Amino acid sequence: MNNTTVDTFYYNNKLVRDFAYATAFWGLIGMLVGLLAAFQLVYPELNFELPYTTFGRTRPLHTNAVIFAFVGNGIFMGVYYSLPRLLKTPMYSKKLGNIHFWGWQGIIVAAAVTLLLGMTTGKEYAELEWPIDIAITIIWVIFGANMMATILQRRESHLYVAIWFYIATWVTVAVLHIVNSMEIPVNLFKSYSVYAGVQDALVQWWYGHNAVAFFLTTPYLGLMYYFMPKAANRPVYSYRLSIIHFWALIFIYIWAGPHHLLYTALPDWAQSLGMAFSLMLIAPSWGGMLNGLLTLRGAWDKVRQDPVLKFMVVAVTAYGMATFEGPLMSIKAVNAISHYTDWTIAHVHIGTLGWNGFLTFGIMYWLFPRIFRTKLYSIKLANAHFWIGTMGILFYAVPLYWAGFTQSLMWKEFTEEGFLAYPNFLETVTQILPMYLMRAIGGSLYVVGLLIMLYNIYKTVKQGDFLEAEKAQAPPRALAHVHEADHWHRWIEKRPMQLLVASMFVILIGGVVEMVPTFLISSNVPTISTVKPYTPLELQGRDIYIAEGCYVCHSQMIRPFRDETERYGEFSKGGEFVYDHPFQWGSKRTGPDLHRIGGKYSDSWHYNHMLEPVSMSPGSIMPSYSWLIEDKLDTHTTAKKIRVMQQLGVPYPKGYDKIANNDLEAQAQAIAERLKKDNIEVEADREIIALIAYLQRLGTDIKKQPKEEDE
Amino acid sequence: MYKQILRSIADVGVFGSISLILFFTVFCLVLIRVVTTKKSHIQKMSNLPLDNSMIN
Repeated sequence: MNNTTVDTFYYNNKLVRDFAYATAFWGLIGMLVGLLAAFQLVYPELNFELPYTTFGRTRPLHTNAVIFAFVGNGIFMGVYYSLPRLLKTPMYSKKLGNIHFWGWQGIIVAAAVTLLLGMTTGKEYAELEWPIDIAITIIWVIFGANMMATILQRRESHLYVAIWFYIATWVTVAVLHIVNSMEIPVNLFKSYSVYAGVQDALVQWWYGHNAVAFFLTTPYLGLMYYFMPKAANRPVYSYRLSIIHFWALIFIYIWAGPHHLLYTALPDWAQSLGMAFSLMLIAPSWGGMLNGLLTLRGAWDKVRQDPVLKFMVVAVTAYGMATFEGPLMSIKAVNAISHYTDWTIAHVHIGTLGWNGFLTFGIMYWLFPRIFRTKLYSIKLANAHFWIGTMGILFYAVPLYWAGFTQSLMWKEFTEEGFLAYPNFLETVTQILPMYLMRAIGGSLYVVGLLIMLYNIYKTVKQGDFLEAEKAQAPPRALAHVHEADHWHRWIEKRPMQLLVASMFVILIGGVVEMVPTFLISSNVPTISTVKPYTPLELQGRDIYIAEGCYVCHSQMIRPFRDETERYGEFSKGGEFVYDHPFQWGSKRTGPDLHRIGGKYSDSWHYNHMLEPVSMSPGSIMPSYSWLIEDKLDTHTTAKKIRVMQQLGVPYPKGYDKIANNDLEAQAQAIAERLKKDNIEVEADREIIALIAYLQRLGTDIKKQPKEEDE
Repeated sequence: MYKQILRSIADVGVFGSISLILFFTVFCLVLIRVVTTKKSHIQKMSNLPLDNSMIN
């Protein structure tokens, strides 16, 4: 190349560094909260009897923090480093980059505050309330605009496969976030999902599964395809395979959501579709994993010396393990055992601790010395981190697998006489507490590893000299490829906008095919005439249930298995949830299912149980909710809540919003009087009364006698 | 209202078959494209991350 036609320009490392700092900082915070949550399961007193620190709120904070704060900032760190270098141009706008950075950190802070205050939509991994949802959308668009504008001003006309993954990530996360966050505000801090019951569940798990796919997986695959060749100093094993990996993965992933709803009230055809596509996922995922590992062909001697490569090898191996296990768990017969248990938690953590965590660490150990023009402070410490972290993953996951199998088998065991062998759910919990403790120790090891890394990076930064603007040279785009004949197969590699549209088209097909029929064909959700809207008091109680994060540990979905109908009662029907905005089926049974809890115990049992769970269930690990007895129920919101529900199609009579509080007070009074008979003195205007009303209503509608005007 | 419009789609069940056929077609096209791509181009693409434009 002739030097006279070469452009000189500068890569800006400042944002890369800032995102890297944010990744490290939020990673530590998110994991510490996770650690607290893990210990809370063993030592309930660690809930501190405060609403802000109970498991129902710390767990959503942990998941949101590690996904969107730790991995989110990790994605941006990697993209802001690799994208300009792959395109031989600086990022389009520093200003947009800065807005992106500070906007994202602001969202994280807002998320942390609101989640601990109990402001939540009650949909897992999409818990943030509507103002934050809007902020996320704006910041995400700013990130996308900056990325696409950078791509358009590139000097390298071909788009490397990592960039494909970035583009697909951007477009899919945008679609998922917007569709799943459709909600109508009640006030600034509260909204109701526009979808109800089965449909809400389908949309939520279409989102939830693809949050894993397109937030934790595809962007990190992009990072893998860039940083692994970089670290190993050799090209990816098979670029051809990476193209197939990309298209097959984004096409198939979007369909797999329903595997989170196997054996639920979701229509059977949708379950089967989800299962079939989940099984197909093994192929592209393993293609990608092998591609990553084989990139190190002939360089395995380097793996012995270079901690960066060690971390990456374990990361890619964990990706392979998790993507083998995922399809396995999507098989209905396996899911019957794994669902609602700690098996799922173990599975997820192989992915997050192994794949996301270790890839992030590998990239950071590689990145910091480069942008600080120095050597890593201590290879020894990095190796120590590697071993402690790996042990941490094992000590985390293995006990939880054990716990999952044990508990599931105990749930399903019958005596020779045909009774449940463990009719008391609590027995199956206390049995696995030692495993929970071991898990928490494993998690602690992982965090110790992280602390070692933070120290190592701090020292590296200290001894280094930050290179903010990195000088680079490349020929202008028009000249760079002037001699190249244009082959048809390079069409897509040169057209980022078309690639964006194509990926969106590909992911929309899956969503449309699964969701449209469920929304349209009334037979998909059979109506039940005795199922009626919640009373105002029950509705308020339900919102307390959501705010306290009860769904984190309790499901409301009894699957049609003998052990479940024996333990909980009649299995759940789709038609029972038509007024549930949002649905509260849950995904984990740390405590028992609550769908048929209504009428099972007395009001006073619930009162005592919420005040002091161990008084009713000795050995229970449920936190105490004593503040519900002191806090007054806010009835100012009732009218607005009823109106929003009416907007969503819940058939309250016209003008009911104005008189709803009368009904609310009457029902509350009745409950308070019943409690009084059991020698419990409590004001009728307390939150606990509303919660008891809701719990006593759960799952009772189908037991009522239908009136004459039935279908 | 939009639901009313969508509800009029006849034979919504055919969506499933269409998408499977579509997936299969797209997959085959990608496969063909990938297999027929010239080796030199593949090599160039896979070397993109290693192509250092930085000069210090």
